[in-house]
Amino acid sequence: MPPAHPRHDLAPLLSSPVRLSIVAALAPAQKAEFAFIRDLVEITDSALSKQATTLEEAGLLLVTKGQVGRRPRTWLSLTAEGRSVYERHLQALRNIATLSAWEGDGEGAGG
Amino acid sequence: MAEFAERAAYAAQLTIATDTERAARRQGRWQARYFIGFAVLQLAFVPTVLLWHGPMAVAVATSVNSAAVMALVTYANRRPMTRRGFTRVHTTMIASWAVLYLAALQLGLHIFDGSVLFAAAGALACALPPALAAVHEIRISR
Repeated sequence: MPPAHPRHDLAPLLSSPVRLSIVAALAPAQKAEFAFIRDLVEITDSALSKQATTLEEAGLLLVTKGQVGRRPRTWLSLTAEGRSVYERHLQALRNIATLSAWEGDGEGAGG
Repeated sequence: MAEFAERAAYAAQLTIATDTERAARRQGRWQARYFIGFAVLQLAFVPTVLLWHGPMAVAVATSVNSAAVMALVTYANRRPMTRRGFTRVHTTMIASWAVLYLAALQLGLHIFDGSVLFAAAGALACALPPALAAVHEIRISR
């Protein structure tokens, strides 16, 4: 039986570029402020809020609210499952890229 | 044709993920600045404690150091992003610094009392853990 194509490891939820960007921005972070992710991903408050809810409902993201001084703050962080899904998705993308390059080489060598 | 478009879409996804991750990691550079601030503080604080004796010295050194540590903590708390693993690095740095600081105090006040050379060595030793932590943060935030 041939090995499964790496695309089977892709997470359908992360096929949206905005959701993928949000998760990628949170990947190196323990936690990040809502506004920080909004500015980094270059989306509106409402768009981030909507996508964060989708990711939270899927168990990939955690939303916590608190205060810094007197100012209310919202922090986003990846759950352990979110991190694992993102890493698997990223690895699948890398594998697809390697496979594509290898197939490209093969085609080139074959003339 | 469709297969080519699919591959291009996957490649674009990979680029989005790696670029965004790199941009987010760069925002974690404040942690290096925090550790550098802590190291510089040691270079001033440790010689002051070891060479300037008396109740006035203790009062001034303690209040200046407390204010500086509070400023660093406030700075850290106001950052919008904390890098994953920062807590572990910070805890290790504080624990190492505490051991070296207590050793510098014991030796500096009881054995090398008034020695400028020892005060300088003690300051460098106490600045070492935050300096190493800063180097670590700079390396991984690239």
